[in-house]
Amino acid sequence: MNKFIKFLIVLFVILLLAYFAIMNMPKANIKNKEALKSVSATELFQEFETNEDLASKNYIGKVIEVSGTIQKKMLDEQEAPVVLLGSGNENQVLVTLEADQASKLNNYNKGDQINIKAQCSGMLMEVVMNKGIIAD
Amino acid sequence: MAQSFDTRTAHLYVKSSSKFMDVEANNYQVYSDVNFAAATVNFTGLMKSWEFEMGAIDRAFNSDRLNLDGYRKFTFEGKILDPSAIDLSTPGRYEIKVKGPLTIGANKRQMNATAVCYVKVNGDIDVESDFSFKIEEANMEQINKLMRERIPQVVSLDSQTLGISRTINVKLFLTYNPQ
Repeated sequence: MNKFIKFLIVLFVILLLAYFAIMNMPKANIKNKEALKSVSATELFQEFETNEDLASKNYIGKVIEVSGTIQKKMLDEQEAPVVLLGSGNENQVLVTLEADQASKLNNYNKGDQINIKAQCSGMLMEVVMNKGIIAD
Repeated sequence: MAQSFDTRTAHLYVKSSSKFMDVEANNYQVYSDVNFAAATVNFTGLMKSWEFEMGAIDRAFNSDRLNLDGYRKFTFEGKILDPSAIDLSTPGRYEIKVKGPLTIGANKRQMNATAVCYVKVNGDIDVESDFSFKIEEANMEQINKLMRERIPQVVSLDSQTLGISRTINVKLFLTYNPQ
């Protein structure tokens, strides 16, 4: 009987630890993920423009490194830094960066070239990427 | 005076309660444009841009194994029912009513909402809205079918097992800039 009670207590503690581990699991991030490929903002935008279904299959949910010229810097509604990359007057890729990238982004200005590792979400007005980290 | 405004960073917050917990998610990458002269307002966003408050759900949603084909985007194409209720030349607080279809994949439903608009001195417009909708029984069956198809089969889950409520609460926050 004593053994059975001990077993129940151990089981309860394990379940409790598992519950807290699941409830407090950190959100998805890409810091330790390798980029699937490196591509320019122009190439990525053109792939989506040419065949959105195919590009979606190839890129949505995938981590890629995108390079391009900064067209605009802004903050979103949670004060996370956002950059629009493009060429000429055309916006091609919107990237929301992780909040801790704000100080690094301060070193870049409109018109500068930048490389960002981020996860592709799909295409709206531009190709949209999330969880961005500025590549060194 | 500008009549057309847009934003690429509208924030949608959704909350659904289950018998175990509240499921909350945020999307900070919603595109929206509004034209007060034409009384139209549109929203479009990507399903993959949702960020769940609970880390375990967020990781599952961001995994490559979750197949969102056919449900990549959601769109709302609305009409402003009372465009004269807002005076863009006078900074202040205004309320407007909006109605139109919300489309997710092949599913379409009519939505009504009231939005509070704050016209700012610099010409931008802050908008807040708070509304809820109920998923029909037939659509819950579709959600169960999708969960069976798209979630790995070892995890045998449906909306009833999870106790997911049919009522979804939505909050919207955005700042429109003149186009």
